[in-house]
Amino acid sequence: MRTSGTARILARLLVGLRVVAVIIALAVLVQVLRGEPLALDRLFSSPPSIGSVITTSATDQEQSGPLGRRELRFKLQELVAHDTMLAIRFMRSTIADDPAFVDAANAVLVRSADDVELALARALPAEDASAFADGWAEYTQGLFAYATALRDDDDAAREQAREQLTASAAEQATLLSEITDGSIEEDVAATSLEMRGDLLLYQLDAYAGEDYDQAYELAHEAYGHSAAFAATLAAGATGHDPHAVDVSAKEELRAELARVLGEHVELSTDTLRAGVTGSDDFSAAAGALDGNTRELSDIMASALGGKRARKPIKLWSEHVDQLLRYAIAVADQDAATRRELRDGLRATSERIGRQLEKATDHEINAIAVTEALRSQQLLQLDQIDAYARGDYASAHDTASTAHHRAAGLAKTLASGFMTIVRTRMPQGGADTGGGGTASTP
Amino acid sequence: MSRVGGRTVHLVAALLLLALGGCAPVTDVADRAHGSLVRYFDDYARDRSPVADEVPDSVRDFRPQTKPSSTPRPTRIEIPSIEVASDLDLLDLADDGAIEPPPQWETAGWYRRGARPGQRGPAVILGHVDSTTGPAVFFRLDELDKGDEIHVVREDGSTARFTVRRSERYRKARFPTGEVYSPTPHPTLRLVTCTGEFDQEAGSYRDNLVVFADLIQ
Repeated sequence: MRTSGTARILARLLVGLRVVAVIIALAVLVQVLRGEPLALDRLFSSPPSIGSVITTSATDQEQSGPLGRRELRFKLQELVAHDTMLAIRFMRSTIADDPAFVDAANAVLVRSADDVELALARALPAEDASAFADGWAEYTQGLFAYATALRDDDDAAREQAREQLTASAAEQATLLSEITDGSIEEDVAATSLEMRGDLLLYQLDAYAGEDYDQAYELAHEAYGHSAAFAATLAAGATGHDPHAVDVSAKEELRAELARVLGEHVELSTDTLRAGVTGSDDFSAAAGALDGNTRELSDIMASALGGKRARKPIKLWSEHVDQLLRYAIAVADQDAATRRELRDGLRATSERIGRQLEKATDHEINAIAVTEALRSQQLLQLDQIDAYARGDYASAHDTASTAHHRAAGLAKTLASGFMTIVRTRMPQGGADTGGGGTASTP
Repeated sequence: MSRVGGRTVHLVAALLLLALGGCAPVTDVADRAHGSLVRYFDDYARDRSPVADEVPDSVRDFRPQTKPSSTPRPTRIEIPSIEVASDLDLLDLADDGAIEPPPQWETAGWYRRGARPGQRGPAVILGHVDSTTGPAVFFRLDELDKGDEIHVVREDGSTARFTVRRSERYRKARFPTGEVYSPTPHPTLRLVTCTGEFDQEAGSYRDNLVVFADLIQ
């Protein structure tokens, strides 16, 4: 009986091993078919470090309780800023007459409006959040109408679309004031929404006129504006006067890092795509990415001091360079270089983690930074692979996930940086008087 | 055996979907992963890759910048509305962790460990309100109003122009270190001097006056 039982267990084990072998073979086959270098670690790593098709962050999906002003601000900043970049790509691909890309961009924009609704519903009644998201989605369709008119060189339709967008922004402003019980003044909301719309339209005009530097500069402004709009929206949705919110230095630093790191993902995405397609806007995209690195460098230097920030920033530039060279290897169909760069990027993310740990006197954990950055890198590689094979839906989804991951990295860095900021600060007031000539009670 | 075979087929199918979908949890993405499976082979059939036949040299030759932006050091401060014009000494931290006072009554000082004027973050300039014998460089700092301009000349001859946002008086014992020295998302300037009652016994003022200003150019 005992022997027979053992034999049964062994037989099951053998079956199990065969199953595992079949799974590995199939997974390898899938990677080969997808034109990716073989990387078994991708098959067995834990989900958070792998490019997934989930568009919202896992933590957000797990948590659906009410959000306070500060956390809602970060969540909305993440979503609205990304939505702005999606809208920009959506409009640009419309004038480029690339229906497959437009279709995929539209799908991800619809989900983006859903995500904004879900976030707002954590502070506002569900019907109010839904009404806002409906208006938001309607506005996006107005942007599409404008882009279509521009593509077709139809001035009358373009003017009509512009008027429609102005009316839509005004309606949205009225709604915002109503659903926040006046915390957000209608005038303030209208001005902010009009500015967003203008920036989106002007960047498209510049892009259509092949003034790519201007188009990317205006897109950068639109991205920054969306972060500010998110802060206003979060304050209003949680019953605060947006002008009277007492924002701590730590919150401001985290918001800044989230903005810059999120834009890094967006600009990397644009630059890599422009690189593999050889688009005329490559230099402008790459220049904007350089500007983003400078911003990150300035934030780090401001928080840590120039000397401490130097090495992490140098490594950050190396990581950007490796991403770009990976895109070139994709275009060249050079599997060996791609494999080499995947390894190189892993090593660079580890070095960045170690340098940041050192620069912050171990306030930042090297492994946490490495994991966060590595996850972002893998998603970025996955998105360019998907884009290069024309799988725009996966490319959009993966790029979206990469953007949302940047928010987590920003939180980690802000916390560590602030500790160093505090230790570097002078203590107490200044002794800047000598004799009492200026003395007053 | 057929039961095991059935389970195997399901398991293999699920894990295949998992690999295609990027290893997200099966329960979350099963439907979408199935969609991506279909889409994946469709895409191959369509062969709509946007990749260029030849990567342009402008792409191959591009190298990301590695140098941080640089802002020249400040050399002089001018505040027209209160007739201040002073060179700037360099200030560091004293042994007790407090900021060093400027060594000369008539010359203001820039805190060298903080931001440079015009660089992201708070630049801090200190000046004495008086000397042992009379008024000093920042004697009239309390006359500054919102909107007044402050000019900081830098070593390359450029000028960073700031506008006063507000002035606050603080007890030295409760000096808001974080508010004055914490990072700011834009270039800012803080002017610091003494104010309030002079404590004869301690030989110093009890309060500090801080002027908060923002870059306008």
